[in-house]
Amino acid sequence: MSFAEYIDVFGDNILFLLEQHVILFAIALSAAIVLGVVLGTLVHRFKRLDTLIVPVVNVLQACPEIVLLALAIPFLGIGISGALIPLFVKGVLPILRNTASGFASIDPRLLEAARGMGMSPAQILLRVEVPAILPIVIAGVRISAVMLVSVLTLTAYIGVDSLGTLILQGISRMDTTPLLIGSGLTALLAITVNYLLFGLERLASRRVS
Amino acid sequence: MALQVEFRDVTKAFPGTPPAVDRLSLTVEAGTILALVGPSGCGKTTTMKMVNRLIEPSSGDIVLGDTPISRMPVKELRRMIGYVIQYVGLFPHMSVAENIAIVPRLLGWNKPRIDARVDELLTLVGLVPQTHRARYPRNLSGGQQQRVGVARALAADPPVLLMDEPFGALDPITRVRVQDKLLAIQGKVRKTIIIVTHDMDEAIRLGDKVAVLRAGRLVQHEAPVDILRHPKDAFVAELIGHDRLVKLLSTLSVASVMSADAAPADTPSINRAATLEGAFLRMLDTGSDALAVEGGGSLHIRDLLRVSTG
Repeated sequence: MSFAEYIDVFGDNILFLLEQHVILFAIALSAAIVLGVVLGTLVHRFKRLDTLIVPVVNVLQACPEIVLLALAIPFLGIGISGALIPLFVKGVLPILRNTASGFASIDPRLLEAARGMGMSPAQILLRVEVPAILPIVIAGVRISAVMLVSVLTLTAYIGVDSLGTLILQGISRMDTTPLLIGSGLTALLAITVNYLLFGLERLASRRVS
Repeated sequence: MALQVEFRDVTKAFPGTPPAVDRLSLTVEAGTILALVGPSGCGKTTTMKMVNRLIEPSSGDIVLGDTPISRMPVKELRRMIGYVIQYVGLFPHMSVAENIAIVPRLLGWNKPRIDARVDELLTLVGLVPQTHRARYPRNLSGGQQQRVGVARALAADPPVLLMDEPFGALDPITRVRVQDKLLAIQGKVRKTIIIVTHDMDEAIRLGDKVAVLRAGRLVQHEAPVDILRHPKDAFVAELIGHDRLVKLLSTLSVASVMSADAAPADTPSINRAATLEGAFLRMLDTGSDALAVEGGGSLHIRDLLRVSTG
């Protein structure tokens, strides 16, 4: 089947898979941001947690994605949760690390100046700390996001629809057309996400030297 | 408006070490500058931070006007006290105007009032509001950042100003310029200012009184001229340095020791407001043992010989 014919016949399916991929991506990234920021903040506030959380996250980070997926099947079954949970975990570490190092990079004398001027802890967080760490956190989110876009193609192996489905089809049928469409769209999505977040990062750091 | 700050038998002890501040009693009169000076670890910064309760005293009390600060709500107290630290204290993600507006915003002022106050303060510290308002700290020189720091501390017109090594990060020439600017501003606003420094020259230049601290104890608390004339012990003398008498000459003005006698004809002249150091250098320069003071009177080298005994 030629390229044009394939798109003509399976166009709707391609759009559906793209949509599925974006939805999976949005869920996985949101979860990774929430967990990464919360854990990063905890690690910064309570130094002892550092020795507890960071090694766990590091080990999960070092595990190949396909291994995580395989291990998840007996516990989580085949389906959305089985696909998403092991993968979003991979997105947590860069966000966690950047959140914690963002907090650590704030000059403590700056925080003391804020206290000395009569700011409450909440005001210090919102007006001083958050603006200061935002560009660093967004940089972490960008790394996670780009990684998640490509890693999510693997969900096809356990029967969850995504752009990976096209790639898998291409491989199993020795058909380069779906293979190229699947991987091309994945790459395009990754590049788009990268530039969008890069723009956001620049916007947030415009004011900070 | 300015308020007197009084330390009453204030001690701050951290567990396991000798007290950082040991039974300190001293009064900073309303509208005057106190320079707290001493080597690292002498307790000067701890002393200052107890005033806005960044550190709580272990015993004793600090009284602002006639209210002990332990009885004031911390936030309210801090908003009554301007706080200046080395120039890192400016928030890098806020413009100059936003930095200055922090305390007024905390106090809930409306925007027109804040804008007017920002412009007024920038003018006071010698920056042009139109060009500097929207800039970010990283685009300012060290001296300009420090002046914005002073403007920010003055924003809500606090009766008391605390300055922690405010000029420590500046090069010597800029430092003197900003010190002069501070004195000029103080001439207009008349705040009670406590300034912490390890630099005796700075303490002498800025302080109406200088308090020398060592190991948490108050060693000497006097006007700069008196400390230069009679350092209480070897420690204070060493802090002042070997050029103590030169510093004394540079602290006193011609007007303070001149005589009313007319000078002989053809003697070189000097301004009344010039320092005695300037006068002495002029004598060396011209080979004359007397100077005519502009506007009448004269200064003889004999007058200089008496200054160290006051």
